[in-house]
Amino acid sequence: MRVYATYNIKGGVGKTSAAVNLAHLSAAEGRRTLLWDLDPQGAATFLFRIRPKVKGGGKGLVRGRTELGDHIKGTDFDHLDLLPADFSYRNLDLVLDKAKRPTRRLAEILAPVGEDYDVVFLDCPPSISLASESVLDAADTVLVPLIPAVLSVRTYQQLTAFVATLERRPELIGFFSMVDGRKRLHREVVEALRAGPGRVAAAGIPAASAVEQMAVRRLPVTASHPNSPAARAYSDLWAEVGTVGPAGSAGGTVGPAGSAEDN
Amino acid sequence: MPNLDHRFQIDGPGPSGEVRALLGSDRLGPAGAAVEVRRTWYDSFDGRLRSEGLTLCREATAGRHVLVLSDGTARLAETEAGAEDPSRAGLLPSGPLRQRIAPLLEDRVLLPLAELVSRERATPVLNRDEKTVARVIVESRRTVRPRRQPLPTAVTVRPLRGYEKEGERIAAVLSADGRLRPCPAGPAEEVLAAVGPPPVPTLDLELEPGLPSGAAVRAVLARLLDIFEANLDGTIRDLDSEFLHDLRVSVRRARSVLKLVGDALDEATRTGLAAELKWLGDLTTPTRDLDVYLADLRADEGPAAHAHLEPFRRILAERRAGAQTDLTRGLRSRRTKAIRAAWREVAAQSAEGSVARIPVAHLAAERTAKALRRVSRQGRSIGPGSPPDDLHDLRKRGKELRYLLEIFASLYPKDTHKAVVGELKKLQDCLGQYQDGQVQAEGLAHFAGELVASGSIPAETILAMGALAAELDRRQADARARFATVFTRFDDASNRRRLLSMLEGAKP
Repeated sequence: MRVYATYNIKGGVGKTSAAVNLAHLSAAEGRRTLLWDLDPQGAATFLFRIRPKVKGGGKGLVRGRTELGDHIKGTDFDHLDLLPADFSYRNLDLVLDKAKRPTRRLAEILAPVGEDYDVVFLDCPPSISLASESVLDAADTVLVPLIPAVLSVRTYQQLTAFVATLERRPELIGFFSMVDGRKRLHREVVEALRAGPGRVAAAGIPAASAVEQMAVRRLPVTASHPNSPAARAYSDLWAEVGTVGPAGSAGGTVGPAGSAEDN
Repeated sequence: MPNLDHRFQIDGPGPSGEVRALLGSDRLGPAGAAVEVRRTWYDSFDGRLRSEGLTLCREATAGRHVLVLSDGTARLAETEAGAEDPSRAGLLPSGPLRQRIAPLLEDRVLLPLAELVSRERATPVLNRDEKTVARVIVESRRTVRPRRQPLPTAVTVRPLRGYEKEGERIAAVLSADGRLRPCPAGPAEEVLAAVGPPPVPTLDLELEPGLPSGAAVRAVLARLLDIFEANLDGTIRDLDSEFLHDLRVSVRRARSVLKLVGDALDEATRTGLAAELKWLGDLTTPTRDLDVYLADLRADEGPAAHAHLEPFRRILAERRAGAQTDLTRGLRSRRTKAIRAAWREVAAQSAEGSVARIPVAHLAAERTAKALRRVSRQGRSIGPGSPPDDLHDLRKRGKELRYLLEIFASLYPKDTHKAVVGELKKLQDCLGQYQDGQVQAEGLAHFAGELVASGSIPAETILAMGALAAELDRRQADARARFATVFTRFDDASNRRRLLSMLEGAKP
């Protein structure tokens, strides 16, 4: 199981769009994929037409009173399941604060479904908090959407510095989101950040009405407009960052045993 | 993930429009395109997966092939597969699926059991938010293996994860319609039930203690011929080494039957068969010996020795290929055909003699007790200085005793029989380890000589073979050292008493 998180301290930068579309692409390749909508606003849950409700809420999960697997819902797409958002997730920091080893807790909650999924996406709320630290700990790869603006560069540098202080450091990959190639500033910032330290994906997601239309159609753009520039950009991004192998590719080897002569 | 399907059958073509009518009050999405799915189930010849309650299926859809291991209620593991049939577990991609089946299959090859082609069309059932909560899948199906046969159309309600209650509700709506029959079995159970059990005859004959010996011994011989015939094609096609092993054991057992209880058979027909069966048995020896060699080599070598032993393995594999060619030719020969015919005739021809008329439990008791006395006598005469041949002879006598116990197993209480055979097996394993060690060490010396004479052998290979020879010596010495203890335990008065009273207890 490989865990991806889409994360940024800022909101409205394309985290949910990336999580939804990349999870859809992963599932379309036949990988058993789970998307956990950790944002109490529940945008990803809404997009998949699923009720934003988890019985027992975030508290039940963090305290181990309910099993994560019991709350998972199948989406309309093969191999893609969703763990819905719940409004109680807004208090996740408080609940985690009372847990033992709070930064490890999300990884522990995910562990029992490790056999069921090849890929997990965590769609995180915008903040820097105990919850986000727990997400960074659970993730193998953190995908950071960056709007081509000077402040984004600074935010990404801050995040890179913060991750460097963590005991378990996920791979950090920035990618440009809502890019408008017509704007000179966008072009300049993209060039500046690609030239700087920290990994930034070559693929960038354009500002496109098809992406904005996702909330109306309640479908990933990779499903509703698979040939649109935005969908192609997500495909390029997934080709760049989706390094996980197919189902059943992990595990030890067992060779054949010899047969004994009959006595 | 658990299987949450609700399955039904309907006679006739069952167009998806019919489902639409049945679920009229539900919100349905547009039916998907029809998809052809080809499912092939595999198992070893002797049904090792099925005996563990497992099914292995390759699902092929639109050029994608997935191998799925299930246990009737859930999909346990899956892995990407090629378009060709899988063969040995060891050649599958590493992962949970291979880990689960490799120890069960050992070296047995996977063979296709059944193949089902279905044309599937799924209709989504939606909730008020236009969200899919389940799919109703209509499948028109036909088997193409082992025979071409249309199957009733299947209707499956497959709830999405987290919408199980919706699935139950939809299934209840479909159940209410008299045309749909609930079908609790999954496609694997349904198709494999149609295929029947694995076609592998075994020696588990049910012999009545009072059955005349002639009829009983003929039934045993007939069953041994069934086993021979069942393994013949797999041996000729060289599918896996167990075919030859089982074929060879059937011949050896038939020879023992002729030797030990042959006087219950018709004398005129059985004359000459023993000698012919010896020829048939000898025909199988070179390939089998090389199979054992290669299997032991696989089991013994550490990773470091792997590369160094490659020239040795290559020469063994070449010899084995040659031996297999001779074996195939021999098994296809007129002589083998004549032996099979003679074997069948002996098994069919009733005998007139007095031995043929006595109850089988009496004959079994007399001959088995005699075989036990021989094992005891020979075993007791073996001391620390006895030559290897004495131990080899004892192994042969032990085999005779074991075959008699196996042939007549159904006459005895299962537990006692198992305990008696268990003690004998320990003795035979010890003797087998001793003899195999010696035969292989001699073979190793012979091959090493040949390789050196050929002049193209790296020093590392000779050294690795030397290490292997030392290991064989060690094992042989270990078996020789253990022999006295193992034999004393087998020859223990209480063990002998248990065996003899088991024989007596079976008499009618």
